[in-house]
Amino acid sequence: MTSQKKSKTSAIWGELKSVARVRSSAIAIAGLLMILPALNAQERDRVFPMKGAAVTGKIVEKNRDRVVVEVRGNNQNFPTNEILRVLFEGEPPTLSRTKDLVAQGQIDQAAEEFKKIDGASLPSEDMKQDYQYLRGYLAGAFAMRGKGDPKNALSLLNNWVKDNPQSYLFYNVAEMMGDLAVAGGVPDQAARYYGGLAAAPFPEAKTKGNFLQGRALMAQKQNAEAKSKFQAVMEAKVSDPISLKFQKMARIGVIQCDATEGKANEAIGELEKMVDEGDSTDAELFAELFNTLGSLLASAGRNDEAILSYLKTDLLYGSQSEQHAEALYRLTQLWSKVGDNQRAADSKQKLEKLYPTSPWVKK
Amino acid sequence: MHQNTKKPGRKSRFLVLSSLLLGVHAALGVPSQAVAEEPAAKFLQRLKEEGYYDQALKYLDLSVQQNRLPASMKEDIGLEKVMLLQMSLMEVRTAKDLDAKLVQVEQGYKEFLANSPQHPRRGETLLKLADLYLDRGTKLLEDSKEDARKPELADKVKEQRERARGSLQQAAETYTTTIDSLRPTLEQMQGANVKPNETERLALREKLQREYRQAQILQAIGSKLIAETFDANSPEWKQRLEDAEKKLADVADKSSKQAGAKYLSLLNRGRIQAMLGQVDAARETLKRVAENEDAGIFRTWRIQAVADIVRLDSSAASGKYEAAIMAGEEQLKMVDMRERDKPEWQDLQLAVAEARLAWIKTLDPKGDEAKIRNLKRDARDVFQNLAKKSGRAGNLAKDYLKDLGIEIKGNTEDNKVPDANSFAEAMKAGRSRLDRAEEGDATIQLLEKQLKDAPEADRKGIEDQIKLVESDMERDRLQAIELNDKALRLYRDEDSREDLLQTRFLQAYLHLRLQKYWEAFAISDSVIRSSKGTETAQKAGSFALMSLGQLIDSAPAERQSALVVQLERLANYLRETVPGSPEAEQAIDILVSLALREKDFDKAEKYIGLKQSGGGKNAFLLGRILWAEYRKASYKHRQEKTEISPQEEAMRARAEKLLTDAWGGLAPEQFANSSLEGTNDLVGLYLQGGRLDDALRLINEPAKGAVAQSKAIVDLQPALQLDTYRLNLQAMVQSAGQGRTELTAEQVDESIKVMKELSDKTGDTSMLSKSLQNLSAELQGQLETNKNPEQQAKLATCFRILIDQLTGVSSDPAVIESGGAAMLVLANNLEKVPSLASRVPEMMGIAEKAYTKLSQLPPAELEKIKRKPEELMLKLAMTKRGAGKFEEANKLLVDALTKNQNNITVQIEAAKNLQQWAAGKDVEKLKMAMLGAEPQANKKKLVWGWGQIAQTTVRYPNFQKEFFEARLNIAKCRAMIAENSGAEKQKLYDAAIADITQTYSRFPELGGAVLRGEFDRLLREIQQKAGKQPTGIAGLPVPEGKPSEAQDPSAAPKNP
Repeated sequence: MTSQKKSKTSAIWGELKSVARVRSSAIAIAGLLMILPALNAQERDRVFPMKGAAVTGKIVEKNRDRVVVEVRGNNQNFPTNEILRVLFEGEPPTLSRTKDLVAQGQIDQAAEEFKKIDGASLPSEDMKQDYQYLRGYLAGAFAMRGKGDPKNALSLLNNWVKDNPQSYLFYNVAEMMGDLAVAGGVPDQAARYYGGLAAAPFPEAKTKGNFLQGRALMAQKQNAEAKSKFQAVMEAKVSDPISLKFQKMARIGVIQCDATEGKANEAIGELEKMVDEGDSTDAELFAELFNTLGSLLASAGRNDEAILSYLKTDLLYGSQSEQHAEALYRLTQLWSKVGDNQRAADSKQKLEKLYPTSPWVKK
Repeated sequence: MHQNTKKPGRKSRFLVLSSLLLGVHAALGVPSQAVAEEPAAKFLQRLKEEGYYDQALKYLDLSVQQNRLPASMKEDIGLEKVMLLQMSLMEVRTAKDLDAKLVQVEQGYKEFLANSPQHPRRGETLLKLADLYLDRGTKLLEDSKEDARKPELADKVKEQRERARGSLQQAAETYTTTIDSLRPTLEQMQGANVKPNETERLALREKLQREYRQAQILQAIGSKLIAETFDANSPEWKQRLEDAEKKLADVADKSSKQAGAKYLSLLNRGRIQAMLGQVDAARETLKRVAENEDAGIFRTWRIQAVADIVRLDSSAASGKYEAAIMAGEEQLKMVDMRERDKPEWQDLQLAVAEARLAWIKTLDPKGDEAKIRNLKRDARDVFQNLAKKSGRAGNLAKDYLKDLGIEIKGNTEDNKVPDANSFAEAMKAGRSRLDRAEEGDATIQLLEKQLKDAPEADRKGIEDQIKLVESDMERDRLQAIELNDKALRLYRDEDSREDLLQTRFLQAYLHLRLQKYWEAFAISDSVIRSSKGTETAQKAGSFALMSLGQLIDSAPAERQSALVVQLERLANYLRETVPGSPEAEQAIDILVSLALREKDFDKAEKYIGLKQSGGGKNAFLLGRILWAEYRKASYKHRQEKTEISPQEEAMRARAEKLLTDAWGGLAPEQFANSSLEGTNDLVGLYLQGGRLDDALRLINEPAKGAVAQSKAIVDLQPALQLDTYRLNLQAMVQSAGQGRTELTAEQVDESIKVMKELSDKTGDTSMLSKSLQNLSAELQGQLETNKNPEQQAKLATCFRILIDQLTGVSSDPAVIESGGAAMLVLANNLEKVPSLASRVPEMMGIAEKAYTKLSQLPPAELEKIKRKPEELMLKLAMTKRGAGKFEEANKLLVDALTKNQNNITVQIEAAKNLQQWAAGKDVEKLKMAMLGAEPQANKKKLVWGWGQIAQTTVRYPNFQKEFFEARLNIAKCRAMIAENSGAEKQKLYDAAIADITQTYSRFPELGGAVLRGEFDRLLREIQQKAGKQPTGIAGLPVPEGKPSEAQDPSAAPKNP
């Protein structure tokens, strides 16, 4: 081979290294799981609440809003938004383990474990229901990471909801379906799915549902409807920290709606005021604030300021992966716009390295 | 982030000391000004950490403008900006920018100090200013050390040292000012003067104490550096080192509570002691640093101290080679993989390898042969590894390797195909083999570099090593293919589809590297289709294109067309699926090349239009092809006296558009011989259209004009650069010809000087001559196509001036000869153009001047241009004839024939000269031209005349043109004699007609179309003068049978 050919192929090799990654950590963890001793099947129903110890007994009632467990003759009531996971009597360990891994957010491992479940031989309808839920949920989680088709996952979950409209997992599914509809580019459907969440009797789920509905509507440029959803969030009487945060996020949404109605300068001023008054350790809020500011400044042609705003998200709030990925994507665009191609390439590389499966990489 | 992605080489050496200073700041615990709770301060801090100094400055400016800066930051904003500017010095790429920024920073600090005599950050500012001087001095000192290797730069080195000393002294003085200004404040704050509950004052005292120590240490380091600006062991050198050593000892003693200050002082003290030859003391001091187990900067200093100890112990004065090597190796065992490439660790590896070399020098080459071999091998391993890295250690390692040579060492371990029982295992093992093979590329590059400079004795060793590495690489690649095949066989549904795709993709790459193009193409094609539109597909597209390209190149002609169809399909697929990607652009280039191969210029142009990155070299190529086609057509029209067609004119316009677009989209990294060719052609196109401004702009445009390109192209073909200067000269001549500018002797001299230098560089002396002849041909074309007589005259005059000045100013025989030849060619050609024929004598006069000058040069000078004296004599005679100096020409020709009567070219020239000398009236001279002149003792004539020329040349097939020219001139001479005769006129006219008739009867072709036309014109003229019907050749009786080509030439008419 001539040296010219050598150098050309070698140069390509350099690029390839970033493309072809051996996912050794995933392989290692999967291996560890395989050698763990097999657990026995579940002996009783168990409910794992988000706070406090698990409760073992017999589930006597379950619907969208609550799960009731009879423990030695006494019923214990668990609102579904406070349940981490539920295990049924006679459940095979693979199914339990999958639920556990999903609850911990270890999606790759959960998918590995899920493959080991023999769906057809599950002994109860509850388990089959959960099995189908996990199938759809995992497909959805992968799709959200850019590793699958959101429409396919959406269709799986849609079928599941049709079969199980009163499941204790309904609100989880409603949110996931909304997210998938956004990722799949069908925000009109997203607003409908988030509506399911907004209909929950729990204040924080309602607030979140309304907020997400507002966002989905904004994505469809239905600003008036979006604004009304955001305002509903802002006006709700809530006291829990999650709902309070959504109220602040909703305010950002209202400001964004105003900006699209030609009040960009006022909107920028409002956001800056929120920055001045806010608690800058609230990473989620501040990352959202600086990204929104960046977007408004860029739309106003104030590219230098927009860059600084996105840099704030990048350098100060990198822990917020969704907003961070967006900031890196926007920085890539803006650096190119101002002619700094080196930094544009750096931002792109950082985005691809930190969030290889993010939809922002594929934009 | 931004600065992290830069290659080390991009950073200035300024960074070296800046990093040291950063280390000092970190170790002494200088607190950050940022307040953790405030995003503004925190953001500014993060911007600095990530190297966004420009953005930090922008942020401060914008925040001030918008009044959004917290009050705590407003106070120091001026100082903050100067500090940012100083930090941004690391990013500066040119010395000029660096100097300008340095002045700005210095000014900023000075202003702050002048305006804020009581500011609490005054000490810190003074330190920064001193750092600046120290940085500048260090850089100059390093430059002087670098240049000191070259004895011819001795003066420069001296100047650099003096400038370094100046800067370093400024630094030392500023450190002294810092110390002096901090001392009274610290004295006031001593002990009980600050109460335990005064937390702010306590913090300030701590800060000022740190700054005080820092100033003391840096002042001592400054003294050490000043010492290095003097000759080693000179009194100045010694005194400053001793001062520095004393100061550092003092600081170390007084810094028991400040570990950073203590150990940095000790490290530098140890180094100074080593310089002063205090070996034991130096070892003791450095040992204290080396024994500190703390992490962070202390670890860096520890490694540096160990390297210093290794060097100290392996010096001739110590001679503790083995101990030095062991101590170094011991430390190297502790290295974490992530820090192995840090400068201090690289330096330690270097020090240990150097210690081995030093030890070898003390050993007996015969008695200790085995030990020497082992030491060499170990040192070589280290150097070979370091030589792959950039930076100081890498450069030094390369130098050592040059001396050390190469030893064959193959990869004898781990050369079997690893076991793999699942897709994941096989894939991982395959990838590992592939990575190892790719690393081999870097090794080969290094070896090839060594081979280039290696002495003959080492060459074979290096070549063998290259072969061995190549064979290892091939084995690894084959194993990787085997493992990937296995992985593909073991693939199960539960395995990752993404990994499956990657495995196929890498398999395609491996086949490509092993030149298995069919396999590479087939696999990459399947990858493209199974991952449409993805980055992987894009890159696989590149493999498929490369593979098919190779297959087409090596396929027999009859199979190529089928492959080309595949290539076209693939290229179109990539163009549609990943538009704008490098692969799609590459695909379009291929489509353009294919269209060009088919000469389908329309299609090629269409494809070029699809490219998003500009037409590139293919647009240049197509533009050049169309321009060449146009020129060919244009030349034909000139010959045939016909007009350019609208289609041809459109072709010229297309050529111009393609070339203009290609030039417009040309980026510096695309500069190549082909781009320069295209640019030169576009200049030529403009000049042909008389668009001088456009032409000159294109030549001289500073970023990518022809001249700029020729300076930047690495493998520049000198002929192309010469052509650029030729075009520049042509533009000057044309400009003068249009009366726009004057053509001065200086301009001509300057241009020719450059062209001559270029020509000399290549060693091809004919290059300049050819280039000037091209110029002459271009100008001739301009003269002929220009219908305006006035402009024609001006252009001819300018060209004459050009050559006149050229031959006048130059004493270089090559230049003079080139000018003379160019003028001679032009004059000869213009002789045939009626409207310009009158200018020929003056042009010939210029050419004559050139050849006269040449003929007066000594033979040794003529040797340089490889011309024989008789050759020059003939040219001189030709120019004299052209200038109407027939007698002088005749004399020269007779002289030449006296030396060699059988030279046909000279005989023809002599006959031609006599004929022209007769001016159609002198019968005697006409007879001499026809029958010969200068009778010899043997009654034969020295000048043969046309008759004998014809009789001689007819016997030689290679002289057919000369034969017919002689026959034509016989008839011409006879007709002219007839014209000047009385009674015999008619008879002579008949004889002249007979000359032509007889020639025709034997050779009806009459030497081809051109000469046949001349015979025809002459015959009609004579027939007319003889009172006959001018029927020309067509009226002559048709010869019996066409003469065969093998016809005996002796049957030609003998009667002139």
